[in-house]
Amino acid sequence: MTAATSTEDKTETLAPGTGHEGQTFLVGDEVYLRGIEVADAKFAMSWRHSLYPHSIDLNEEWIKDDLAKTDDLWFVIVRKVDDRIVGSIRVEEGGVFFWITAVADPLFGHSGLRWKGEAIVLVATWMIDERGQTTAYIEIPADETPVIERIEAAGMRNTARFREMLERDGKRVDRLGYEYLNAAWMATLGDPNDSPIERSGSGAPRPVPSPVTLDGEPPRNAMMVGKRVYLRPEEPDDGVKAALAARHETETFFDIGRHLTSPVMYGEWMRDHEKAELPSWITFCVCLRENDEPIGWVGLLDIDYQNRFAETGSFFGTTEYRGSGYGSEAKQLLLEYGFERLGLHMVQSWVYFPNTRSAAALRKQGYSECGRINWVYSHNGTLGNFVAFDLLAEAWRAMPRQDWEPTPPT
Amino acid sequence: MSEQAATTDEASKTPAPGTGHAGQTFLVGDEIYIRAVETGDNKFGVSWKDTIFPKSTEWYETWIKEKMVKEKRRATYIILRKRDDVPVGSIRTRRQDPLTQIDHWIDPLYGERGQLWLAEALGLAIPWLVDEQHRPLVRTRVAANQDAAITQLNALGARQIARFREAEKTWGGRADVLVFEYLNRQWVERLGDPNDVSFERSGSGEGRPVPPPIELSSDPPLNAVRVGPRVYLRPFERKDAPLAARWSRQEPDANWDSGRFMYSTAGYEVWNEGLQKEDPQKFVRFAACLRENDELIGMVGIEHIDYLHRTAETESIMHRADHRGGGYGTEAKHLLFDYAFNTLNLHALRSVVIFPNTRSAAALRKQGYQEAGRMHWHFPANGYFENFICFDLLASEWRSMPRASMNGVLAEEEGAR
Repeated sequence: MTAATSTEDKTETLAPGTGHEGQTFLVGDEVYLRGIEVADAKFAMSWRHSLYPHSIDLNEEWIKDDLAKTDDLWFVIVRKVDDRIVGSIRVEEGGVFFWITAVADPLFGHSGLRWKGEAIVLVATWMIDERGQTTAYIEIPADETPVIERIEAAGMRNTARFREMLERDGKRVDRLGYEYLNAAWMATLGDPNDSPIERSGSGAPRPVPSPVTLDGEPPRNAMMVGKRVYLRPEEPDDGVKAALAARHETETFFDIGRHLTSPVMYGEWMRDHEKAELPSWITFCVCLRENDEPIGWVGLLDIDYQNRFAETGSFFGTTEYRGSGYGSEAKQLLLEYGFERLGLHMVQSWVYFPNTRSAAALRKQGYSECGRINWVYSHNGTLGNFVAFDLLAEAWRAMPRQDWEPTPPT
Repeated sequence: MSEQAATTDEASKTPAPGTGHAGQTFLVGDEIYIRAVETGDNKFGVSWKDTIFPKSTEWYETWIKEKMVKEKRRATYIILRKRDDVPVGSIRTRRQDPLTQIDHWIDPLYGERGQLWLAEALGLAIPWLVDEQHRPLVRTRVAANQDAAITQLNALGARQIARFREAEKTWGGRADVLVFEYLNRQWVERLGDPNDVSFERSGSGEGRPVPPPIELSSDPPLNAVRVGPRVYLRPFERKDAPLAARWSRQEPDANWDSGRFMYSTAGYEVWNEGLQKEDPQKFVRFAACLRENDELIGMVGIEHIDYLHRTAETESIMHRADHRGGGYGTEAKHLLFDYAFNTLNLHALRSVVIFPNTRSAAALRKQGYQEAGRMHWHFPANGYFENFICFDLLASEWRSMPRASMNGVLAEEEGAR
């Protein structure tokens, strides 16, 4: 048995530089990609997408216990000359939309970025050209010039720029969205860049409501208070109301059609978020000051504390309070919370193309359009797009402060 | 118990608003009073629990019933408004004799009014803990813009002993953090005023240039996270534990901390891996190794990481006595700063050393740290309570320090990473 094991070991350990031999795809000029092996734990700091140090033993456990269960495709990027692992690339499969993230060990400097670029091109062309999928999308820090040059040369197209989203070496860096689309699908559906973003409303930003100085008592458990609405933590009971409101929904354009929610799921979702010491989702219930009635929720989603950005989201289930400025007042309280209390540097927001109403609201709130993300969902016999927005804390602070009267509900 | 009995019982527990302090003999002020936490306080959690993240009343209930009751050496007290018994803030104590640390919180929506209530609460709690309960000292931190609390602390006879610059994220900006202490008079009579104890310095105290970022001309060492001219940082590995345990037994110097410590291999391994299992990690530790032969020489770390305020404390231990004093520790420390400031994007770091450890203090100064004050009476030491000297370092200061090679060792290729 011992002898057999050692023979097996020998056959598994290839001479350096021969690791890619015989592999028929995902092999480039300088690097090749392969699935992750337990032994790759020895190089985990080069390829695991983690901010933190983890020992080899913990990485082995993580590969066996966690990585093995993920639905994402995850490959290591291996240097051909000596089979050294220099990074990794990951694909989140979303039905029609494939989100790629890639990392090269920063200690390889410029060479690492070149290898990262090559790996992205290998994966994107394999998914889209060989496997016939529709679109691959990746976001790249704007200072990674070697990556950008490589993927642009391969026909990837820049569709969005999120300003100052990242922080590196004390400086803010934009993040760029790139897409790679399937040519045959393009012939069938047309170029998504040709479909215009329909707009409604003037698009002019409105002043931020002046901060409220409370003379009387703040509402119980309020965290941010405006003139007419306040934000408080969500409570399990809110789920019951939200579920009922969902059943009473009259509009179909906020998302792709309406959704039904379960109060049980809502409660679980809420508990999950508040459990974390450093929550990645922060959601608030929006209530009317006059009678404490909950009218919707606003939230910061996927908060990145390292780079200090988040996505904003909101939903007003109570239809009579839509379109009358209550939502914008609540959003401005959320922005104040995000920028002034959490210290975020920027926020972003994505809106479905057909939802021109939410896009108009974002413009009024001070957000700027920063691009588009194409072919993400099925809609009207074609694939639909998102319009992307961003808002910098600095720009929000520079907006005028002035009270305005929301239109009372009808 | 019948339903009616329960209701009566419930009613007797709930006093009419404004009578909650009636009969209480201490910790009652003009506008507020202080009492221990009760189950029903969960309904007002946002006002008194020290977090800016939204939590449901259910979460506060669980915290009170399951977490708070198990806390050791800690206590939480609620600050209530006298006229209507509404909770508006809290005082938290942590006791590790001789020190009692006070943390405090007041609902920010009360604005200036809240700050006055907090000041009153500190004025009640601090003399209670020190003068009535005979604790040797209380220490507390306030932001430099908390004027009412500062005025109250000064009026009490507490004194400011340290200032950590830009250490707190406040609503809309950053503020310095001021550390105040209130000493027990009888202990001062017994031991003398610790402010009179002078801190001996060694070394010139001048900052040395930072080793520049290097562009590696060869492959980085296996699993390295940061690489300097002679030293690199990598994660702690299980194989490091027996070495650290052995070297702890061979430690020649008893002045780093309160005497020497002895590690067990198992304990050291479990503790270090435990830190790595946290997500996010609040204490990030790296093994510092020599590039020439991959030998482990020590550990450097960032502890108490606060991702909201973007501050942390640095620590380092050069396990190998034979590699001390050659600049390896400083090189490892700058690699750690690079990780803290340029990867975690922290705003400020701090460090503390005991008075007798003049060598570490000199090293911190060389690394760019500025003296931030002192913290007294931390633990017993030879008929006295030991004092700390405090340092802080801002990311902006570290970035503006000159970059140069150290000890004549040239970087392979100097340039932007």
